[in-house]
Amino acid sequence: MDAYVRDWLKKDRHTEYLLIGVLTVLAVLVRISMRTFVSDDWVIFWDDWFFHLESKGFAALADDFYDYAPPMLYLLYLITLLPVNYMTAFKGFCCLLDFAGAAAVAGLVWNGTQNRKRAVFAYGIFLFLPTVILNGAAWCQCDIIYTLFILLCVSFLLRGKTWTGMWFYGAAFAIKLQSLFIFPFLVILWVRRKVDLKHFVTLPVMYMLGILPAWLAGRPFSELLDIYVAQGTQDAWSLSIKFPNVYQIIGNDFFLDEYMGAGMYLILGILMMVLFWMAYQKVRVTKEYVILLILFFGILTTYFLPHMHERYLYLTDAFLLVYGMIRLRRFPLLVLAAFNGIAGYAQYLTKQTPLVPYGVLAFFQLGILIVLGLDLYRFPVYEKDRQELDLQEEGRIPG
Amino acid sequence: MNIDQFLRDLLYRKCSIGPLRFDFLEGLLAVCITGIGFFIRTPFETGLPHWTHLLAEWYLALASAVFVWRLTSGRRRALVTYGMLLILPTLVAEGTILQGDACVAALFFVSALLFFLPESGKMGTWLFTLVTGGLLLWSVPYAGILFACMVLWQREKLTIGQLLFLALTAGMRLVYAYALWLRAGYTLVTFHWPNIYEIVGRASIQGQLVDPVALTGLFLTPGLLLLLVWLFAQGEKDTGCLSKKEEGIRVLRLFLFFGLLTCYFLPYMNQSAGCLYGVLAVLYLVLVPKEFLVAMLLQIVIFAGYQEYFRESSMMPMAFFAGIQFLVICWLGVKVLEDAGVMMPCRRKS
Repeated sequence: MDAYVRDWLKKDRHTEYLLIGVLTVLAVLVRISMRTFVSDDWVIFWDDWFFHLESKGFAALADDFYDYAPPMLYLLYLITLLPVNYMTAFKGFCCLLDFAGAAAVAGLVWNGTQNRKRAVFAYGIFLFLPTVILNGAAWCQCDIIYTLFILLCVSFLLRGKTWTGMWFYGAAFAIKLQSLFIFPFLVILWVRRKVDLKHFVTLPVMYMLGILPAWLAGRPFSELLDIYVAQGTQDAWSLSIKFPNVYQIIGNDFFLDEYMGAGMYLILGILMMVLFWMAYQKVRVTKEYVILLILFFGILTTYFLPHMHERYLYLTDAFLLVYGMIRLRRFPLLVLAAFNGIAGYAQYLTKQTPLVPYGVLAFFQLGILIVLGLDLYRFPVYEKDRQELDLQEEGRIPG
Repeated sequence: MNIDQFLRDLLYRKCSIGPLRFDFLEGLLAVCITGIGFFIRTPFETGLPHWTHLLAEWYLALASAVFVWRLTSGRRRALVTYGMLLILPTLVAEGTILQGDACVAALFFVSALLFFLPESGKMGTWLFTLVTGGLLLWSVPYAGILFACMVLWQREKLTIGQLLFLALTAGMRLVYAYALWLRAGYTLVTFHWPNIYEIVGRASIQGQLVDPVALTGLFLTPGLLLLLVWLFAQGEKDTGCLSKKEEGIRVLRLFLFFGLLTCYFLPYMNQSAGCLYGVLAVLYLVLVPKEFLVAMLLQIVIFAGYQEYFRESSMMPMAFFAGIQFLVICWLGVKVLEDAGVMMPCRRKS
């Protein structure tokens, strides 16, 4: 019997299939076991929104009780039509997307490394990242939705399917403003001739498509256009909401209005300088480079933007996993980032302040940013032998 | 023509205004970052930012860019310097929020450095001496510059007359300031500046004729710095010919090291003490990118001081920032000793 099992496992891919199966079952079990947990977000927001939608139906979308992008509300409306517990259904939907996200992460790792084992590993890690488990299954949050769209966007972009990739990015933008954290990577891809201006039309088109049903339901068009602006000023009570960024070092409760404006301009200035430098960087746009760009911009913008929530590291955690699998020596960064992220989640869910101050976590986060920044800075060195090829390919010698 | 291609080509298109040649992208950055530099200051004012400080900060960024450009002949480096200084949070805090004079002092010193460049000749060195002397007479936190100038005198960059002039101005200011401060009955030995007193205890001793902690700090500082100057004299003279850039880096490192060390031990320093050194650190970063941690950590330390002043308490213990600053000073110290050729004989003897 032992010999049979060993032989079976040794056969092509059997171990991997078994591992994927067991991990999937475990991941399902952990999510099912959390289905009854009621978070504050559910009590304060989601439950109320479901009540509105249940009582008034689709016409409720004309009211201004929600500050999320309308596509999220369509999802809630669809759930109200089902004969199931709303919270279970909403959590179930997000958890289903967790698996799709894990598959997308695995796909990116496979695309970047052509290594099946690493892809399986990435699938498993994503499903068991504490922030991923808690975000949907416990907190009732839906960061997986836009993250999944961005993962798919990058997957298609890396395969050369620019339009498909950009439609997914547009979809991510139509759902969450946070998708813009990584937007500068598309500017670099445009400079490097990987995308064209016409592809950016997907953002307004998808946004318009997203708000159209709510407008038809009766909500004023101007309000729908302003929904992200309203979101931006919503959490003005703290410069950082359990997010380990610069405001946790200098203070997140003073000069609230002033630092909000100045912080926006500061990150805008920093991005200008970084993009300027990158426009002259002699580098071949490889898959690893694209992942690194997304990661760097995701962490850079959130490090300086005011009013960041702890959940906003979700996207970068996913890409940090991909990057850590492509460049294994960077894997410890994911461990550090997961530790950084979980502190905020734990405080939200348990109402206990973490023993490690957020200022210290902010220095950890700065460390991650520095390492990634150095990776970007040194990237041309690693790719030195391919520079000439790159310049010939692009037909331009910058600098 | 393809619009994408047209725009991409436009980014790298060569433009010129008079003798100045630049890429369109460089010009675009210069314009945009100037705008950002203006707007980043607007949230702190009810109307437009205070024009004198705004002008001083802008001119400081410009002078620093010219300094970098003269040292490296690198247009992009100069532009990056300009941009970084325009959006530098410590400068915004000093000039716009606090409306303090340290940014004006930084402007004077960077201008003095421009005079100190080799091509300026003897007249330039005298102008450097006069401006620096004015700075030393102006405020105590710049006293460290005097000790850096002593090392420069050792290296025959300054004459004995110039050094004596600087010593006189610095001495006058120190004597005048501390005669007042030591009798002022201050309750603290440091005012929002993360230095040694944030580690050993910043409350001053009350009810006595003298405060021994402050007095120790006051006399320890020149003593320690003189010892260091003497140590520099023990180094092996660098016979090799240094490039202008390398020379500039060494000078900057020297000013940074002595300036920070002085403020680290002198009592009664305030949050503005680091403003000038924050600017010098940015110049250092642009010239030596691989030592970016010096500038980055220093900005955090300096801004922590300003933030404690605004907020009246610090998010993290100030001793933590004082520790970081100490590490930065140690790092610079090792580099400066290497520059002076002191490390080699030490290693041989050990």
